[in-house]
Amino acid sequence: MNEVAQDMTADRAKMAVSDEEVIQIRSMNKWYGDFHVLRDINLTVNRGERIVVCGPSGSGKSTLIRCINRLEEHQAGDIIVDGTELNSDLKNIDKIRAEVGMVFQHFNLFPHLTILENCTLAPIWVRKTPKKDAEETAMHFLTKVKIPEQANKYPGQLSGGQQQRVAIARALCMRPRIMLFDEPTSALDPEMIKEVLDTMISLAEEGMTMICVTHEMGFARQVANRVIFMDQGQIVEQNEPEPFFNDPQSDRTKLFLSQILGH
Amino acid sequence: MTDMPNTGNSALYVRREMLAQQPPPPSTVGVVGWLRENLFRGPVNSTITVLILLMILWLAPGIASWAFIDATWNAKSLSECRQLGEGACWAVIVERFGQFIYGFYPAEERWRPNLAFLLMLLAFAFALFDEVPGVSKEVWARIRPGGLVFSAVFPFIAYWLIWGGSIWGPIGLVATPVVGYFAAVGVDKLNSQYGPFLPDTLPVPSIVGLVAALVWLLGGMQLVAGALTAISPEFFPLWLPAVESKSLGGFLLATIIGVAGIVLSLPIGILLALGRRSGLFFIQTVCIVFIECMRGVPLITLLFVASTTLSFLFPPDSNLDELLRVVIMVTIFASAYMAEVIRGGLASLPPGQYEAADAMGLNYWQATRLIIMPQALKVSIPNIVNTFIGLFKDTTLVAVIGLLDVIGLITATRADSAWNGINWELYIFAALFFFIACFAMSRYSMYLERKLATDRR
Amino acid sequence: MAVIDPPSGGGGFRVDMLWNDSRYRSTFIQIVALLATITVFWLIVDNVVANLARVGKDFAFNFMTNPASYDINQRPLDYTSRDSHARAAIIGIINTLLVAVVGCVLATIIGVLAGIARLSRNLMLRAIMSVYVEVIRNVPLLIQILLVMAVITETLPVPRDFRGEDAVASMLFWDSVALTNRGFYFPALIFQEGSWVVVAAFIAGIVASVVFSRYAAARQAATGDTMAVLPINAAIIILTPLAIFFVSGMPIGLDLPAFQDFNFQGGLFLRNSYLALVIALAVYTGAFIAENVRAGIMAVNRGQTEAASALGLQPGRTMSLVILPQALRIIIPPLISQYLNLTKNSSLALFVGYMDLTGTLMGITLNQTGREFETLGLGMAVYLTISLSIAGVMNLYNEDAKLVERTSGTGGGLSLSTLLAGFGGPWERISKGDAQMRPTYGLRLEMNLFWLFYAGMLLLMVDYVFIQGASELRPSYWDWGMGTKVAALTMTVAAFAALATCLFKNPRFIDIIAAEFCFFVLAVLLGFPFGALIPGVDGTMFVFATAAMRLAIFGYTVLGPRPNLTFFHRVRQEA
Repeated sequence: MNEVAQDMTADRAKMAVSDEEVIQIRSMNKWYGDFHVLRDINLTVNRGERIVVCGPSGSGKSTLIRCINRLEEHQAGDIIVDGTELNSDLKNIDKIRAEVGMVFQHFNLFPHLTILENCTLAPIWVRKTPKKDAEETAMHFLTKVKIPEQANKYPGQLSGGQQQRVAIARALCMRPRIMLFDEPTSALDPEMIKEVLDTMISLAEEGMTMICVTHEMGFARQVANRVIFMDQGQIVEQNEPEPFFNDPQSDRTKLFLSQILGH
Repeated sequence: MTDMPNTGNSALYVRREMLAQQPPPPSTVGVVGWLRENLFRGPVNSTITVLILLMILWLAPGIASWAFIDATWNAKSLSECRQLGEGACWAVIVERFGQFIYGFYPAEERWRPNLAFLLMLLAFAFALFDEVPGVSKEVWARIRPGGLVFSAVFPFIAYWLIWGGSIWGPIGLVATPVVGYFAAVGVDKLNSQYGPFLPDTLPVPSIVGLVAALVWLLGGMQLVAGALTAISPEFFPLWLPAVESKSLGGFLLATIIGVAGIVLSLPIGILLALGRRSGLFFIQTVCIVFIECMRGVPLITLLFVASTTLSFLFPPDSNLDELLRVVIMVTIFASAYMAEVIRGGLASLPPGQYEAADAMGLNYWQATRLIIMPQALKVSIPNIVNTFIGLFKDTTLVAVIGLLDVIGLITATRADSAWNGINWELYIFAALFFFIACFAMSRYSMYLERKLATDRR
Repeated sequence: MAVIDPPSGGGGFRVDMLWNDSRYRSTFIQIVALLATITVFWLIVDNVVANLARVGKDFAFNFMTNPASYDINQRPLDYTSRDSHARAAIIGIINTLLVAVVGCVLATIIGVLAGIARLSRNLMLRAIMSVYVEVIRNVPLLIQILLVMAVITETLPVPRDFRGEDAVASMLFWDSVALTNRGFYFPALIFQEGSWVVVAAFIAGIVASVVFSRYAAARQAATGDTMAVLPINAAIIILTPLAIFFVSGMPIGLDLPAFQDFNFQGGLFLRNSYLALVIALAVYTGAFIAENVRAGIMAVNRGQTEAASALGLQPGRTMSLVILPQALRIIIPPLISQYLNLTKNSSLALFVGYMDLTGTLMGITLNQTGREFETLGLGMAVYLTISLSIAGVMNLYNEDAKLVERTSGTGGGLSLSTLLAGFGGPWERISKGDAQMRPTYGLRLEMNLFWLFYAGMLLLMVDYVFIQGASELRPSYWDWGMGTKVAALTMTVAAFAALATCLFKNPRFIDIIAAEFCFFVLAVLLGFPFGALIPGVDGTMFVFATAAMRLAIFGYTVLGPRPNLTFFHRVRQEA
């Protein structure tokens, strides 16, 4: 046990975190109609950080990361991503979306395009990369997620775990500086979760800045350098994984952890 | 087989030998079983079967003798027919077959609509089929991009083939987007080559392209085409004898109106469907009002509009052909239905598709063109085919404003002194024609629906 | 440490922000679209005015009061050729509705029977029904109408054949029905003096049977006893009036058609054109309904039947309690749109010479007066009204079905089921999540009536501006200045737009304000004589009274006992 913990610390040390702040969220608020989903969120993410966001369902964690690439619009406060402020300027939004990759719970692959076409679509149309280069990049990342042989199949022909790995490769093909994961494993069968988590871990080892909404606490212990617990639209507690799991401070966190770990 | 061990009162049972499969009782299989299952299942079912059989036995001989045995195939008039046989007088169909198909299209030019029809099948094949039996997948994939260009240009070819005249007009129309595109690209190239001198706040190249296309469409085209037309009859054999719209009739007319209506209504329908889902209040309202109004009135009233008031909506000196006016109204009518079909396709897409496209940084038109529309259209194809079937059947209504489609020709035939009094044969012929065409198409659409259902799984 | 400076947000307004900034973009696009629409509209209006002037026509509806001077062969109301075009048009509308209603009933019967027959286990029946459906659906309706017309006119005997002792043709059903090529003669009912008792007994029987069904249901709920509802109801509805009929000396008689001189006299006469139309429409639409019925029943999961059987329900109960309620929810929306199609298709009457709306107003009146715009506009408006009413019923039903799906049994206000189940009842409050999911069904009917009221006002106003040539009150629209014309047109378009949103979407408070605003500006602009709407009521009175009425409705929606106030972006919290 101790050995493992040491290993993890060593792993974490390998993944250097720089001082450069890539995401700044300042007193951000959001409402759905009358419902206050996100309340006074303040969060700074440095380059290379791996953040895991957890919390009970309906606590606003997905909404938080969807605000970062403006899939949801916040109504008050500032979000600054990679030096660009998210405001009503559509050019900024396009710029940020090109820099921020996102992986969805339900994969959202485009069923009418092959795996390769799924991966080259955005580089070609958003980054204006020549098709050949885009395909090379795509194959590179498909190899990395270990499914280069599926490149000419259609998403429907792949298993859930494979689809999710394609979705990760698709996001990586834009060479994003930040990756957002919105419960990437919760729609998967148990035996497929590992292959996706492995992919994410190797990504983390390469120093990718990641924000990950997930309930995979093993993953959080292994790769995260910060765990954020949200409840009722607020950040209730954030800490490094070790103290977070071993010595939670808030009662809500304790309750939550006992519910998901206590069996 | 019966070496079952007797072990006293014990509940132990062990089968030593497996039973071979036995045939079922004979009354449940074979012809007898089939008959029992499907025709004589209980007294009510048996009665129904017998009644229907009796009815068929009663009707069939009469119909057969009328339609085939006693029918007359060659005669010059109805009275001659009646002398030759008691049955149907198919002679009228034989005599006027060409007319029913082509209307009064000049006989020596009929190869033109025939060719256009064949090319149309080819154009549809390119546009609709992912694969074609008899052509290998790779070959088809390689020729398809070129084929799609052909599909896009086909309407102009068809127009030229059917109406004839100079080819330069249709070519000019085809050239319009090309002219616009090259103007835009040219300006863009100049701008980037000789230092940016255009403000980047305005999409100048696009505007220049649009203006160039408009100038070409409104004046340039006529100039160039006029000049070439003056030369071409001598230099190129690109001139066909002109045929007036009035000469078009019969099933040719129905096909022209139906196909033109459905093809033209597709882009309008797509825009209306997008507008209706746009979330922009004004645009949405305009689209809804348009769609609901068009779907709320009968086609026949729109045909009245085509024949009477439509020309009032255009500048006083514009002289629109009646067929063109009908096509305009039919297109407007069909586009409302098309919009609803495509809206259904759009609604069937999971919201994740929109989100994923957004998250990648694709803008609205890119996402629509690359992600949303390909999927929505594919889902909609069966319903588009069904809309086409409906429209094709509805083309018979144009008889009400005096166009000589099948119904119009039938009326004319019945008024002819030689055939005065003939009835059934004409209607049955028309019905049969429509049935074959529509039934084939509806089968195709059902096949597509099944294929889609399995593809999605 | 990279310090991120928030980009200076201000910097003023640049032109490209119109399409690059989400704050302005949608407004910008809509303004462009609005301008484009107005331009196109304006060009069209201008062309129409110029073209009308060129042929020396104007746009007015006063011809509608001129004598029509043409005859109509089927007259549900009194009509002679000296009556006005307007009356002829009304006769046409009624004739259209006669075809549509009878056609819908027949089509439903045919369709339901054929649909069920297509699911029969009997191969022969299934095959025959498939042939019927496929053949009918793939042949143009017009050809079918003409064929049926040909069958009637060509194969049936002329009335003359029924004459004399050695008649060639004979009547059916004990000389009560005559089928001739001009039409069919049926016996008609004659209501003599005292017949109202029987009619009243019949109506009372229906009411009593409804009451009895309620009672039986309540009793079953309370005690578990089931009663033979159907036979008892049949007895109440049929036997009671029958008994009274005989007791009161048979006050209702039959008027049998009889051949006199040259034609049949008496009875109920259905003209051949009407018959051809109704039969063809019913058979044609029935084929489509059959498909809907079949698909609806097949869509209900097979597991449902098995589950019901496993619970021990008998096949009849399985059908009525499990399958049908689910199938109906799938069948009814397409069924209603088939009714819509049938109504629109009834305009093919023109081809067999049946005088419906297309035959009168859009046919002979158009040809006689040469008023294309007015007649076609009015005719299309009538069809549109009929269509939208049917669509409205469909919306109501869909909302009702949705209600059943989400929270069964909560009284969501006036939806179809509550209308049928009686008014009132304890209203349950909808919980927050619920109410946010489905915005407005609770007030839908009231609000729709409200919008119809607006629509009526708007039509009156449009009528006032464009139609009534009220030259003594103000200059005709066509003589107005450009500015006034544009203003009036814009306001009219905006008012229609606001109304359309209210009718087709879930309206918001802002929509109501917009509609109100447009109306009153338009009204003021035109000097609309509110007072003239209701004779003897002062204009100011009218304005105040209607305003008070609307206030009352708003107050009711906000404060009343009904739940569901998401409509105004407010949700009543649960206690």
